[in-house]
Amino acid sequence: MPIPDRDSLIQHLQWALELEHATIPPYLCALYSIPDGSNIGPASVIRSVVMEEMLHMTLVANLLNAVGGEPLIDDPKFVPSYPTYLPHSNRAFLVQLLPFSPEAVDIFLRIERPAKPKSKPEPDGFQTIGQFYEAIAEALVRLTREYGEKSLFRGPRDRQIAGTRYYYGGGGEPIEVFNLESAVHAVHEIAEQGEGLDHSIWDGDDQFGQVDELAHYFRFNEIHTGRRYLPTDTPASGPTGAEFPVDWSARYPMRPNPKASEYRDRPELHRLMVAFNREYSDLLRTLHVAFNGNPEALLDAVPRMYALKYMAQALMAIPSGHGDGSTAGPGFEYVPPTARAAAPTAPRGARSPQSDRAT
Amino acid sequence: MTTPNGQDDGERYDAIVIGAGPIGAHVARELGAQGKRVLLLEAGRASGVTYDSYRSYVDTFYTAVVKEPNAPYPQNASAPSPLSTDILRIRKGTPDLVGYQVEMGPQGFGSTYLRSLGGTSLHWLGTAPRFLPNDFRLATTYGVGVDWPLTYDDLQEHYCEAEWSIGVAANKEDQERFGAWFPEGYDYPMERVPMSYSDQVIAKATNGLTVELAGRSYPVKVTSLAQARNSIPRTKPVRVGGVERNGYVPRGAVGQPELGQRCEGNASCIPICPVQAKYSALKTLAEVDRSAVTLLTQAIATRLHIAPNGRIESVDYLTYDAEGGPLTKQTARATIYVLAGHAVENAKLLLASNAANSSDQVGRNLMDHPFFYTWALAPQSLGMFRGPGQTSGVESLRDGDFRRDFAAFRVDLGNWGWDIVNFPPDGDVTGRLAKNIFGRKLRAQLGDVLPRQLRIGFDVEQLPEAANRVTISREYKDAAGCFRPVIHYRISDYTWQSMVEAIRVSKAIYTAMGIPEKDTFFVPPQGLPDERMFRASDGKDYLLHFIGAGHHIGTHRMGTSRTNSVVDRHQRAWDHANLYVVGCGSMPTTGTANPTLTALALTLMSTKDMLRQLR
Repeated sequence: MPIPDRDSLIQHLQWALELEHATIPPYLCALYSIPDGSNIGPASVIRSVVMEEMLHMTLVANLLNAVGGEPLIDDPKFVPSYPTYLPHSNRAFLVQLLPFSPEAVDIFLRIERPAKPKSKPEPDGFQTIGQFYEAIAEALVRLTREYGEKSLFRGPRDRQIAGTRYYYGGGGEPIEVFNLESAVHAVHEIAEQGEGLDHSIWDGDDQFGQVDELAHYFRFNEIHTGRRYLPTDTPASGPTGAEFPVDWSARYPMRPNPKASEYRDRPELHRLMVAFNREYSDLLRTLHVAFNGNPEALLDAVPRMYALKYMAQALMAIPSGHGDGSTAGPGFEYVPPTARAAAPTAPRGARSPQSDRAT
Repeated sequence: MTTPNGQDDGERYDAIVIGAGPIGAHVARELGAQGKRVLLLEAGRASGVTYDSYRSYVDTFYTAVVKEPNAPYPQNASAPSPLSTDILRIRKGTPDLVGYQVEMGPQGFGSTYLRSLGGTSLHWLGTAPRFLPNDFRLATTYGVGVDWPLTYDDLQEHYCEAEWSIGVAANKEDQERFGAWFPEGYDYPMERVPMSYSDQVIAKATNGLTVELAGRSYPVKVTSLAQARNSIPRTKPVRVGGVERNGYVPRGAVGQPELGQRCEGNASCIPICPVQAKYSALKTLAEVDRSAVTLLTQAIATRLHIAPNGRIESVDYLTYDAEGGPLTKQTARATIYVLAGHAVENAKLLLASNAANSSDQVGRNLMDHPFFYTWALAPQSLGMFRGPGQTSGVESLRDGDFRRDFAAFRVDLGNWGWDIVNFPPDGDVTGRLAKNIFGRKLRAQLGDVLPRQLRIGFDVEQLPEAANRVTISREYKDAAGCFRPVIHYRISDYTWQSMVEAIRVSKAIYTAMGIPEKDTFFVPPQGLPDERMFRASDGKDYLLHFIGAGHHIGTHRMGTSRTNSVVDRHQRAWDHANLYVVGCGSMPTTGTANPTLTALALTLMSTKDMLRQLR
């Protein structure tokens, strides 16, 4: 059933926000399980994808704000408990928090799988994310006709995250959404970066002056196959370029789907896991504030993301004590505001001396 | 465009540029953009041009025991670089032969540079302030030093171009001082890097503070520092260098552009920025038109040949495969020749070629900003060890009447605790371990002390002096048979006296911050190679010390006539119409600003003259 009205569109965009967010912890676990300096190729692939997922979250928040909605982020319902199905998908596969591994890449491929040509838009129970966004794009066009453009896009402009001030890097700039054209543009940007444009392997990012990049699915397929795509390759040909070096052993063997509650009997480790969850939940609060009319708050979110990275990397180096050689890891579990208290600061890497200023 | 070792194809180029650091890369880019055929020779290796090989520098740095400025960059026996660890106490009358530079004293020249693709911009801090109008007319205004053959206003347009080319983060209202102005509608390409917490504490405590210098009162004003480091880009269209620009797009890491679009505070700018948020010449080299510019690395220029009519007719260079291995001699020819190999290396090559030296100024007037520092332990946390090396400074003491009597300085407020004092946190850890402090107690002590460590540094001006010089000698050659730089260096009273003033300025700041006297320090406990008892103008004796700032200036200075200088205002050699000698070596005085930005502005101006010659 198509999206009938504004309230339903707002509901679906909130789902989209949850969907975009749900992909981020799995990607971050794989990325942070790779020690600095090893698996440089795969790490940069995962990093580039996860940065675009963050862009997508921002674009969805812009869409939601443009049609008069209010993004809900600092909320228990917003955060999935892994393993989880993709929110509002057809529940075909479970998304897990795994270290960098063939299993993890397999899940990433399933998340980013392109829709088959001519597949139907699916506002709920979707098979591919592309179908879900097709349904949103269709509704935007139809509801603009129904309500009139000014009335559908009635959200205040100052709630939009725009330009390079707050968001940078990662294959694009946030698109300010204020009419149908910009809204459709934003939806296509999300779908194309994920799946490829019109069934090509490329993501059509040229408008931002970025290097033409592979869509997410094909970037992950390079890791999966251990081979690079050539510019002449197609989805059917698969990658036929140079070897893409992947060392599956160069990563911390994080125990899947870490939960703080598993480590109650190890107070030091438990404290670190809870500290991560608190910091993470407080990052969600910062994003919530930023996406609800205070774009400047995004500047505060940046150091928090670094803090989370250092905390996650520290956790991944601690043995889990399960006797299987695995290590602990970040749980990405929601902690309600009342239980957060002051989030502890992150450990910092040591820096080093120099004896000439060379300024 | 890169070939690992040189094979001259026997063709004639429009220009041969020697040295692929920031200056040479800009010359190659500007000439190449106009379709000129350029041969760019680099003595060092081509490492660092791909993201993976840059990463290997980062890894080398992380594992290095002594983290000195060249630590990430492997030493190259065929094209050696000076190391700060080589610079030892000079014993009277005995040259120090350790390392690459031969130090004749009496003071050690404590600055290093790097011979590798990208040059010293790989390990610089990225500080990019402009010179002040009076820095260009020191002799006229204060009766000391010499005037430049051009003014601040002459360089204005080229400063703007240079700031946009390397990506400087600053707000122009912070940089308008002592008559330094900016064109209407112009601003830096990126917003200033936020001031660190310690900057803010110092700024607040010193609000309204003044110090007296040579009988006049000057404010101690903390302001944000201009630096070539990515921050928030400005998106407003602006006209720079005659070109309409539609805002600025920060350039990330070479080969990995989604990294490094903003400084993320890794706090290791010197010697390496792991994400390349700091400008390095690798970014400019990536912009070079490869169809016009041929880059030869591992190609050491050894000699310029001069035709009877005074023009340069060819350059000899040596290529090598393995470092320290066999060398192949080659020759290349061009219409113009551009020496961009660093102040010391340029002077060496000119001396080895007996070129451009009718004034006898080649290699002379070697200067630096002798870096004097004091330090203190604040009663409260200053949040040290966060962010790039410096985010603010005191720029209000860079000019004034006192320059008749003693040197001006730019005050550097460090963000890395006592960094050069005792190399914390490593130094603090090993010091305590030696006292058998470990575990929780160690952690608690470090957590208490490190955030309170304050270090104030002074980049002190130096005057040109003929006896301070780079020279060469048959006695001292490197593994490739090339001359090692032989350096004579002495700091004069004009500069020493200024360090005494710097102690007074430090004391004023520490007092304003409420730091007890017992927690303020002015003399390094371990003694430094270059410390000296100095009798100041107040008749008292002070034990003074300094280290190099890495700002080699003056060895082929520009001037108004062929008798007082090596090059003219376009950095063209007076003696050879088709030879340019470019970079910090052309600067006649040091001012108090870190010199790279000014050298770039001069060089962008020179490229226009080069293009006129090549038309």
